[in-house]
Amino acid sequence: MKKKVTMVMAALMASLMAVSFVGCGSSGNSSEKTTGASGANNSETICVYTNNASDGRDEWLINKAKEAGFNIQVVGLGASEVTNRMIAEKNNPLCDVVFGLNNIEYEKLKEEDCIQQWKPDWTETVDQSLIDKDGYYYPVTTTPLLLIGNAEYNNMPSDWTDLAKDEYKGLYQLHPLGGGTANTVYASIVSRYKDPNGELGVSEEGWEIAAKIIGNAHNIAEGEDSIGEIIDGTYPLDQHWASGVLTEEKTRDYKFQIMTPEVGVPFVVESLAIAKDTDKYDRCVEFCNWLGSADMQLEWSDNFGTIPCQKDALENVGSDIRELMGKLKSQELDWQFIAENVDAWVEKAELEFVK
Amino acid sequence: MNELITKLKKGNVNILGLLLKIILIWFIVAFLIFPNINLLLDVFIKDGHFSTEAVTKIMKSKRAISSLQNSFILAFASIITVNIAGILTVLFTEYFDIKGAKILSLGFMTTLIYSGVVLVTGYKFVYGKTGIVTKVLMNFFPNMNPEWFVGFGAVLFIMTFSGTSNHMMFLTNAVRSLDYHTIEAAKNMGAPQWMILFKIVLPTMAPTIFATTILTFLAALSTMSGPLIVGGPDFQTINPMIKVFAGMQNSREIAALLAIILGLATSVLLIIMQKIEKKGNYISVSKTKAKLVKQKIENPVLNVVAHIIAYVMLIIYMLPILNVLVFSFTDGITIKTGEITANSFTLDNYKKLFQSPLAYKPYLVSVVYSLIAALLVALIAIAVARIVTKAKNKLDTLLEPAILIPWLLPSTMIALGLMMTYDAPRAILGNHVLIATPTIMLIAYVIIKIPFSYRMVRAAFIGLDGNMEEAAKVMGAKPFYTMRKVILPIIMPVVLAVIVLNFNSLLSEYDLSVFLYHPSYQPLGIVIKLATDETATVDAQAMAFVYTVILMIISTFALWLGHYDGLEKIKILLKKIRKG
Repeated sequence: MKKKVTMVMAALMASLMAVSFVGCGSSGNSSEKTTGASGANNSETICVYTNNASDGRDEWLINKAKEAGFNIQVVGLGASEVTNRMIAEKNNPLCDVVFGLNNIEYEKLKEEDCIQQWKPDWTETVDQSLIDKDGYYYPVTTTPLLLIGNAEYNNMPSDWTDLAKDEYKGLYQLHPLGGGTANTVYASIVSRYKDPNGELGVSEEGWEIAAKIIGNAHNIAEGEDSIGEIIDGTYPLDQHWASGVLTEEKTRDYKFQIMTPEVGVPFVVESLAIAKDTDKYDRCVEFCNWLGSADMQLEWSDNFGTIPCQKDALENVGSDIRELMGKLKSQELDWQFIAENVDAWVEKAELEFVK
Repeated sequence: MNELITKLKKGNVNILGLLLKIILIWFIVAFLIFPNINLLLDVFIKDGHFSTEAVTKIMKSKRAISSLQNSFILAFASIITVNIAGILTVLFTEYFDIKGAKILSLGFMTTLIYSGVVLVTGYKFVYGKTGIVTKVLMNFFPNMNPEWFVGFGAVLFIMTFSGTSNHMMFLTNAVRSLDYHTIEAAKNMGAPQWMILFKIVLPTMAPTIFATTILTFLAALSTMSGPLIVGGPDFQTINPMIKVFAGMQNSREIAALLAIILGLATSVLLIIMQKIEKKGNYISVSKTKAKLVKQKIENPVLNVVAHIIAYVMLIIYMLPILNVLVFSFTDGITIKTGEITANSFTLDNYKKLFQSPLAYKPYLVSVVYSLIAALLVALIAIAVARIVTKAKNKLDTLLEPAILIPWLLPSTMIALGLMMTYDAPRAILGNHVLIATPTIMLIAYVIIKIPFSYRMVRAAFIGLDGNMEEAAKVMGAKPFYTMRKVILPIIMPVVLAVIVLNFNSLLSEYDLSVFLYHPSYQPLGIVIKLATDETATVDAQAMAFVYTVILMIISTFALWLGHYDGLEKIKILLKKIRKG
């Protein structure tokens, strides 16, 4: 009895050691990583990394894919987490297809050698200007980022840079810079002041404006009802993504004012790419052809209110989306410049501007 | 070394004990030291040079400095307030004769079953703009600012009443193991009640209070949701900033440096605590302990005051959780605005959860991971606490600082360290790659829970009466037998409490999981976070409340099993069933 117990004690301790060996036994060898790592018998299971998995989208996509003959696994994370994870997993990647990220994130993945070149069969029917010129990622949906205001607010700014004026101090809300919306809007403002001699490639004027805009804002806290605060006038202005504006208008039965700057607004384009080290390249291309097709994107939009890049799909989406898109213009942005510098810009803002 | 060999030859060395030590040392080196050092080197060394850029960046940042200050203010303030609230909860439920102590105890226990964003949101529902307390107050003070629940006071308030979990779990055990003989003796000698409390009861609780003090300090330093949600512009703390930088590839040195500053402060506190602890003698003298009899407060005025305080505290504890429960039955827009109308109520959230065939799986995954991790951690904590408290040589005492390393780094960094180190074959793991395997998350779960578990178990070991062990030894019991038959039964309540707390807190773990989880095994924390993401729809955010309520049910069950003799009750029930 004594012995038994002592043995059990030692065995349990050793089990941790054992677990770490056995657990990774199948995937330890990098040549067989994908079969082992996906843990499924079907070696044709495609592992999809995406930031578009919330709200039941993952389940919907898995079922739809199954109907179309694809076995997929969905890893749902925030956008920057997807990128970080793919970079960290470089030596033993799990991911086959990555979708939903914006250009900034894809540029980072390209830089880190995590994605590869390919070509879908639907490039003809999307806006050519949205396609990566090196052929790594292709557009699926688009999300204009807007400044919206209380319906009765009579001093709507005409451009993001107007927010630097003192009259707007404390009147507008910004999301945390860690998230995609605030991050991209901030980058779109800063990158207008490109100056090779300036700090982090941006002129002094640019930094002054950025400091004002970030410093004078009301920072939205987690769980805060920012939309409610526009409507009740606490903070009449707020940055928001287009599809979110439409759903909020529906839920709250309200019509916001929308700022339409002359330069346009940043259009975040969510794209589709194939991971560098996948051993199922052909299957991945087939899957991406299906996922990015007009029919599929129309259905995706009807279910989740997204704005498709496929022209055919866009013509058939809900009238509210079409009406909104009619008003908006895409701002021209130097994505490569942004991708190279945005982290340093955000770091500067977090350290020096955010209050 | 020679000594060891001669000992080995004589057969004086406990082979199993030695094996255990070797495994522990391997574990510590492989998972606590190597990955973290690897990460720090990677972060601070740029182009072959040690970079001090982060120091200048932080010094230049007003926000970083004031956030750091706020974190320390909060940490020191909450040591005082949390200890007062925590000791009161335990005295009210275990020591003094307060009417309805069982109900009080259940109410005070609620902090164990929910935490984070949902907890803070619960407080916001109660004290915020539309909250019930604010509305009542407005009746008396119509001119008050409805958004009064903001800033340092609000954060400290939430910290205070949500931070007493450790007191409820561990101090309760300490009070229960008080020897009533000593109290009776003091009474017979004419000692007044307050003297007994301060000279006998509180001192025997001291080792546990030291431990909970450290935990409170750490919790306050690393708090996220409180300052983010109710801190307002004037009271932001450092941890949210650390997290932002830890997630950005080129800013990790700033995160690491900030974390190291917090870590150093924690280390200083740990050392001071250890020194105080060593000076004292906390072992209860009696060998035949008598069960504690609850003390009626003799002074009638004080008795009434104690009852009032106890029940006011109960209300403070219960209001947020009741709000969370109520709001889980309302639609998304109600949760967002915090205003309930007759049309707010719906069962859709729950329907959505139970209709989805995939919905149960994250629960299963998280329960299995958390359970295995909690058990493994308990074993490691017992083994190390045992070795350290019986330490005969330098190496043994070195185990302690090593095992506390995970306290010094934020979990994001720990995850990154593991990923960056074991993404390639390493000799220390027999050339296995850990990344992208289901094991890596389990190991990470174990790692982050080790310091806390060790600290609590060690406090229990220090309170142990060495004579009992000696007696067992004299009677010829071998070390492991003594461990099992004498020591384990005494420290078991603490071990069970540690297991339950670890299990409950790992159930919704996010920071580590987000980097390490395997696609086939998505844990609950990820699902909840996705639902509350800034781009999630209003209805998706309502789901976070439903997930939390289900989590509360699981956590309550775990609490019952580990802390309320649930295991025994199930055993008895099974016996009954078997007998027919």
